[in-house]
Amino acid sequence: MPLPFISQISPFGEGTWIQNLAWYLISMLFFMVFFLFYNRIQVTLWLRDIAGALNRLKVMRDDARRVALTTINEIGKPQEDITQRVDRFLEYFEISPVNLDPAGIILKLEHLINVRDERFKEEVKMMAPASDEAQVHNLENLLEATWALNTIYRIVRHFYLFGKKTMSLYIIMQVQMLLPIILQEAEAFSGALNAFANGQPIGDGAGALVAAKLMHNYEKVEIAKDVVMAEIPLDGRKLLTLKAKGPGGNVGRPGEGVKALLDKNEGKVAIVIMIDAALKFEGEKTGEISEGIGAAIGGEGVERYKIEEVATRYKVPVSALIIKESIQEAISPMKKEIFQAADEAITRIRRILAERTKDDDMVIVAGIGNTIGIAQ
Amino acid sequence: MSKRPLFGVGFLVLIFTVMLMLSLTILYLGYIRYVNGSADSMTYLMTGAFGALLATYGITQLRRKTAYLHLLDYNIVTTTECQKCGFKSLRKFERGDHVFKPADKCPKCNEAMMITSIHSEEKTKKGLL
Repeated sequence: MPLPFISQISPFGEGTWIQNLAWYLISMLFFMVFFLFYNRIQVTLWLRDIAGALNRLKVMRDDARRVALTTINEIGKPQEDITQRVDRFLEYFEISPVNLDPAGIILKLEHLINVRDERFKEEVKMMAPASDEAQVHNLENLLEATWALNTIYRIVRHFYLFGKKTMSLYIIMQVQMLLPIILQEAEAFSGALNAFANGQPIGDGAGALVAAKLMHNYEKVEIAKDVVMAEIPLDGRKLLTLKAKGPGGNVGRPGEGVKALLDKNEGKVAIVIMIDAALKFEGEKTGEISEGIGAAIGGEGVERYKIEEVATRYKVPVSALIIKESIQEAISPMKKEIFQAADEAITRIRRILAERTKDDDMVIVAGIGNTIGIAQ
Repeated sequence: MSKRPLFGVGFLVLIFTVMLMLSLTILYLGYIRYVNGSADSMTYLMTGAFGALLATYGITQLRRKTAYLHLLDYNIVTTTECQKCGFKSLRKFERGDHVFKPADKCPKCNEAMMITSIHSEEKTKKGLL
């Protein structure tokens, strides 16, 4: 039985003139709304996406802060409430050196990084007086991850509120489009918290692990700040193997280490082999190893600059081995595939030694990366 | 400088809801015309179906999405190994473990064992915020 009122409606021209006019006006209204205000509707939808992501980022940030406070209280046994000190640390910032005149910027950057490192360590020691050296490094890493999450949250919130205030399509669109990458990175930091809190090896330590496996059972000396070196005989060559001093979360200053070794031996080194974790492309397998040339080291460029400079001065070739992993894997607990890749990397080093060096040659092997949870 | 959004979410929900109701009305009219054998029934049915789909899509987009956090739950395994007889033992990671740390005595030959590996086995779970 058709409904009496509705069955009278005839939107396609068969009804009375008033019905036809009403349908025409309604159709035009919808057409106008979608045609003229499509961008505004889209902006509203994007803002909702960003608000959802911001909510997730806030949860991650709060969780990280909670983990940091709990861990520092557990390990460091502070005498007073450290909440305010931690909150102050999370708002810490640094001002990059001016780059209008780039000459000497590396030295300025190095100075800034050294000051920052010292400052962070002092802060952590004040927060956690009962912690030993390795724990200070681990807590510093934990606070840095928390700081990163707080910074990501603050930046996204800034653009969200600014975009909402100005209703600028371009600001909102850019943030919305970057959200998958931002969230991926934030989730990686979030996943790294427990690793830093407990001192577990992380994916970035793949290079340090290779060096540790080589130098284990050999005598070690500290050749630069937080960098240890061991002389290892391997396949008739003398390997000067270096890595950051573990097992605390530390990357050391391998650039200074390589420079010290090359200077000490007056450049009489056949090759420098650097092993580091590197970001894989989507579709590539975690733990795959690639070989290339150049200084395989990340960071802000200071350490790479030092290695490139000294290698060029002595005309020593620099060979690079990279162990592939994603950004999440790099700062999350080390996966089995990455751990196993360390043995494959040693096989590759031996092949490079056989193909590119002669008996009794001296070779520098630098294992780069955060050595958290990896001693030597 | 400050601008208010022209369309609040509530207004958009209203627009899409009205659109959905109109589309369902047209769909219903199409059905009546189809039953009566009218030649223009297909125009009604297509218009109604298309409008209903569009309105449903709009409402779906506006719905507050449940925020899921892909928490990565790691199972960290510590492997201890006897340097003499090669006996291997796996256990859960404990705070303070690190690679090359001396561990308990080997149950086979009573020699000191050593941690030779700490790695994760990843399990992804969804945490509801």
